[in-house]
Amino acid sequence: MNKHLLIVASLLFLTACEQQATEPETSLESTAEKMSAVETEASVEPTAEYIPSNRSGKVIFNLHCAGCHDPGNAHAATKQLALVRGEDLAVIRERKDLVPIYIKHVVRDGLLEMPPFRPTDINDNELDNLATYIIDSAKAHTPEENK
Amino acid sequence: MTKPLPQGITLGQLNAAIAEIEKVVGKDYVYLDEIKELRSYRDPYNTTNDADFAPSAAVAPQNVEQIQKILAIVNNYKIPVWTISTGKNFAYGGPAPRKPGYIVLDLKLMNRILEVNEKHGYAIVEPGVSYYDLYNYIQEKGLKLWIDCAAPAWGGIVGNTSEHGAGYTPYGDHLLMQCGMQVVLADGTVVETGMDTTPNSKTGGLYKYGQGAAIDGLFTQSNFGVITRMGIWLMPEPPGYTPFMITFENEHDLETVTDLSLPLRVNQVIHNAPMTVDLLWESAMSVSRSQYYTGKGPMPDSHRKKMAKDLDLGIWNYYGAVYGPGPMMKNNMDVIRDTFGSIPGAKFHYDDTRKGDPGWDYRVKLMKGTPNMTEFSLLNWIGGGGHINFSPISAADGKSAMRQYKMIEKRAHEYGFDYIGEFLIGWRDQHHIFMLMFNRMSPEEKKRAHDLFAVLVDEAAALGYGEYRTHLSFMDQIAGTFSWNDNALWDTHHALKDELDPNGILSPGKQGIWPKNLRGNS
Repeated sequence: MNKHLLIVASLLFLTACEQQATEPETSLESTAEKMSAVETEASVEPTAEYIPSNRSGKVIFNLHCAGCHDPGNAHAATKQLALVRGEDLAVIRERKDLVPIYIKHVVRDGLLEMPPFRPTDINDNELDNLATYIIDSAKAHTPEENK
Repeated sequence: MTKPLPQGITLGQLNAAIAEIEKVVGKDYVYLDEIKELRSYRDPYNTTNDADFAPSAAVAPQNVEQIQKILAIVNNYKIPVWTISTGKNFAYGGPAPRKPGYIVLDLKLMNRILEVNEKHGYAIVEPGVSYYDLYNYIQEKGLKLWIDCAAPAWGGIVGNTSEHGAGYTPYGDHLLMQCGMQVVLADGTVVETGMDTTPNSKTGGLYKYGQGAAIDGLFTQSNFGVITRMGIWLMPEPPGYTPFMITFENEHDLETVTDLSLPLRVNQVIHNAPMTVDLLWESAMSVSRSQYYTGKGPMPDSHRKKMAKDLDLGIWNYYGAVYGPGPMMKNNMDVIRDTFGSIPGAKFHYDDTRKGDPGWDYRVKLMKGTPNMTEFSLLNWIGGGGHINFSPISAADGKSAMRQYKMIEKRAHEYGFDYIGEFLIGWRDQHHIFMLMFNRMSPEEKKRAHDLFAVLVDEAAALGYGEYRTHLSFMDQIAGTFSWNDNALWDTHHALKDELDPNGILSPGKQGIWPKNLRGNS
C-alpha cells in the first residue's frame, strides 16, 4: 500500500513540476494560459479583477427559465401550472399577477417542483433584470381573445 | 438562526477563515445570508431535512489562483469545503454538502470555454460551463459538432462527467469521452493529466492516457482534488440521423428486448445507448398522475392500461438511433426492424407520426445532443417535486433486467410508490434508473421514500447489484456494499485520501470517502 502511495505521490509531484503552457494552433479559440503551481500562502488582496456579469433579463430567462417556463406542453412548469392553476396562469411571461419581490423570492428559494437558483447562477443585479423582464413581457402581452 | 458548523470547528474559527477568504475573492463572492443566499445551496428534494445538508457559507472563486489561496486558508483552519461546478446534481443532492457547516466551493463563475477544436472534435471547458453554454457557443460559431448532454441539460460538462453521468448520443459515456484534466490538490499543487503534462503539448485533447498511470478517474466521484478544467470529445455532426421508438405491450417483454439489444449495441448496429423506458416515465412527459388516478398507492393496472392506450404508448418504450450516411442507416434500420419486429405487439414509431409528442420530441433532441428541460416533467407526476434516483447497474441480460425490475417494483408498491424507471444500455451493462417520486411537502412521504431507498440498497446488494451513483444520504450505505476482501477498495480510497488531503478539507464523505479525522463519525 505504502509503495502504491509513493508512486502516486511521485507522479503527481512530477506532473505538477513539468507542466508548461501550450499553443493550440488548431483551435478556433485560443486557450487561456495554463496555470502553473503558485505559492499557496493566503493573500490579503483579491487576486484578480472580476467584473460581475450583468446579463439582461431576456438572456437570463432564456438560459435558466425558458426550458421549463416557455409556452407549450414540452415545458414542465408551464404544463404543471396549467394543471393546478389553469391555462390563464400557466405561462409566467404572460401573467399579470406577478410582482418582482415574489419572482425574486421564488427564484432564490424554489417552489414545489422548482429548485432554487444560486447567486452564481443569477446574481442580484441579474435577478432584478429578470424580474423586470418577466413583468414587462406580461404587460406587453395581449391575450389571444383580445387580438 | 444558528449557524451550522463543521464538526469540531467553532464559530470563531469559521468567521476568521471566512474573513480571510473574503480578502481573496472579495466580499461579493462569499455568500453568508441564510435566507437570501444559502437556501439556494440546499437540496430541495432531499428525503430527510434541509438542516442535514446546510452549508455555513459558499464561496465562488474565479480562477485557479484563488482556489489555491482558499485551500491554504481552510487547510490552516481544517475547515471542510464541498466542491460543486454547476450544482444541478438533483436526485443525488444538488449543490448541498454531505454534512452541515461545510463551506461550498462553488465553481460556477469559472465558466470559460477555453477551446473548441472542430477538426479533432473536442472542447476544453471550466467547471461552470453548462451544456446550454457549450451548445449555444457551438451554434453561434456554426461549428459542425454535437455535444452530448444530460437530461435535464442545465447541468455541466465537468460536473456530470465527474459524477459518471450518461447521455444519449453515441458519445453518451461521458467519462469515456473525457480527455485530460487540470486538478488542484489539497495542498494547492496544480496537476495536468494526460498529454498536457509534456512541454509544448498539442495533444492534450486527443489522447487520454499520457505516460504512466492514468489518474483522471481518481478525481471523479471522489474528493482527492478540485477539477478546474476538463477536455471532452465532441461528435462530428453526422450526415444523417434516424431516431426511433418501439413500443411493447407486455411487462415481460423487457426480458426479450434486453436480450435482443445487447448484440445490436455491442456490434454498433444501434449507435447510441438504447433506452427501455417504462410507461409511467414516458407518460409523465405528457400528463400527470392525477389526470388518470387520484387514489393512494401505486397506480392500478387498469388505469395504466387506459393511459397507455390514450397516449399510444407501450408498457415498455424503447428508444434508439442510428447515425451516418443514408444507405448505412437504412441497412441498420432493416436489421433493427427485423430483430424487434419478432416480438408480438411491437410497434415502430418515427418522426412522421410522433412529432409534437413531448416524450418523443425530447428524446429526439437528446439523441442528437440538443439540450432541453422536458424531462423535468417527471417532477409533475405526483406534484411537490421530491425525487431521488436509485441507480443500480445490471447486466444487459434479459433475466437480470427482469429480476432487478421486479425487485424494485415490488418494494416500491409495498411502500406505496409508483415504479417509474428506465434502463439504459451503456455497452455491456444497463444503468437502471428508478425515479422515486414523492411530495417534498409531506414529511411522512419523505420518510417513507427514505426507508424504501435504504431497503433497496441492501436488497440489491444481496442480489449482487451495486449502484453507479447516489444521493448524499446514502453514500455511506452504498460504499459499504462495495466491500469485497474486507473493504479493500475503500481502504485504498482512504489511504489515498489521507496522503493527498491530510487535513481532510476536500468534500469529506463524498461517495463515502472520509478523511481519517472523520472516519467512524459518519
